[in-house]
Amino acid sequence: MIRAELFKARHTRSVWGLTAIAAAFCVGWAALEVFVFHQIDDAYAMAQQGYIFALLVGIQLTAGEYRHQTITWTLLVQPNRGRVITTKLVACGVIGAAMGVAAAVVTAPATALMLAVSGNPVVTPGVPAALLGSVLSTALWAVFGAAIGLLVRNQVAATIAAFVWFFYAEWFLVAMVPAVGRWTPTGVSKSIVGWSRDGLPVAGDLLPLWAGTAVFLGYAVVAAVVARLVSVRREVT
Amino acid sequence: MWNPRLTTRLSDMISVDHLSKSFGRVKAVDDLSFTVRPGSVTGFLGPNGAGKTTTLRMLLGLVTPGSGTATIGGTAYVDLPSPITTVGAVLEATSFHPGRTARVHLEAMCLAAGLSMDRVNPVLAEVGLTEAADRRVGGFSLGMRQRLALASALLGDPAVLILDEPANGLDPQAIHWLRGFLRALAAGGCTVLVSSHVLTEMAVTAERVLIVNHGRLIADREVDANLEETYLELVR
Repeated sequence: MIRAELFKARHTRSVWGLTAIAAAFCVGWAALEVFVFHQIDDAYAMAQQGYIFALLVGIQLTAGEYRHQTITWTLLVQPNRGRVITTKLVACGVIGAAMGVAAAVVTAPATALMLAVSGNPVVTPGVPAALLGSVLSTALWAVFGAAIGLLVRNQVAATIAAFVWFFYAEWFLVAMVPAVGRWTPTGVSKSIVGWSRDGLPVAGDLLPLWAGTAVFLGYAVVAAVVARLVSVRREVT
Repeated sequence: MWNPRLTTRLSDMISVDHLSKSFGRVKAVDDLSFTVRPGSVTGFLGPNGAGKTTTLRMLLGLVTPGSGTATIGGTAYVDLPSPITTVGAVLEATSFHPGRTARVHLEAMCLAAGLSMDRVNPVLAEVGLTEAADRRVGGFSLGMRQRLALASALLGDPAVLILDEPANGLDPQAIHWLRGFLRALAAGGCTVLVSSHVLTEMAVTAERVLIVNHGRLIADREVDANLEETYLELVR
């Protein structure tokens, strides 16, 4: 089942397109950190900045099944809907990790080059942790997207909801109640990468790596469980 | 005496028992009972909205029965250990990812079901899609999608076929081919249940018909020369 999901993703052009855009996006962010913000220590952590695209891939691979009605074939092959959900989440974890690796492989040398060109030390503290954290974070974003897609089922609605949350609602919430900043999806994913400087006004420190991972995975699992109980049990007509 | 052939045949029987389903206030299927035996093509007839599709979707575990049971060889679809090698199903013709090719669609199903990829070429050939196998489904005509749906149903080489309006969108040649194909499968011992609202087609394809109206079974009979008259009389 997982192999089938990975196979389908490999044969979906938008997955490749979004991966390429994500990698380019990360390099762009690294350039901003180096040349504009002069946040040298955070430059390598920009390898996680493609997370929104991993989220979109997760949404596409789940809500897209409803959009194209391929869910019928999926359920004919595997009528156990709980197993379909688990398979989707695991497969999206693998796909997200692959996207994260692609982003890191492109971003790391580009960042090193930019640091060298700008006359900074090429090796900054915590580079391996930042890159590995980026891969983990991107994987978790794809899992989270898959869970959201299963819950909402409508690809366009899920995509819009995700954008509204991550570009408006979450910022607003954190601005109003800074204490929740480290608990929001963006906050926990930053804790995984160890991103010290923060666009969001987070009060206090980010969570430790393990706690951030657990909380983020927890969000995905909760969304998936709700999806199992509410959306996925719905009839396919 | 124990007869292995008979045992197999009973395991391929479709059985619907006091099946009901309502959507809101509308009773889509109302206390419906019938069996479909192997070895012949059984037509499932009725006007639009008679409950045919809902019944077939309950048989396939896509819609949950309100009450009653729908089983294949005594087992509900969702409990079958290996669903697509037991039952092949054709539902809407449009349900493919437009960006994937016919071959990719079938290979993904093989992977998901744990079947050998060696099945893909034979089923493509069987439905006449060999030439189009590596084209994206987005560019397929309705008839080609129907053929791909049929190929998907045949992938697991099942002994039971459940087909919802499989002749939709097919040209006369393809309908002729489908008719021969289904009859040959049935003659080979398969259980074939085909829904349709095209009477003339059923009159020459099916040996037996089940007629439903308002979710209820109103006839279960052999096909004879008077099928159309009988139908019109019953469905009034």
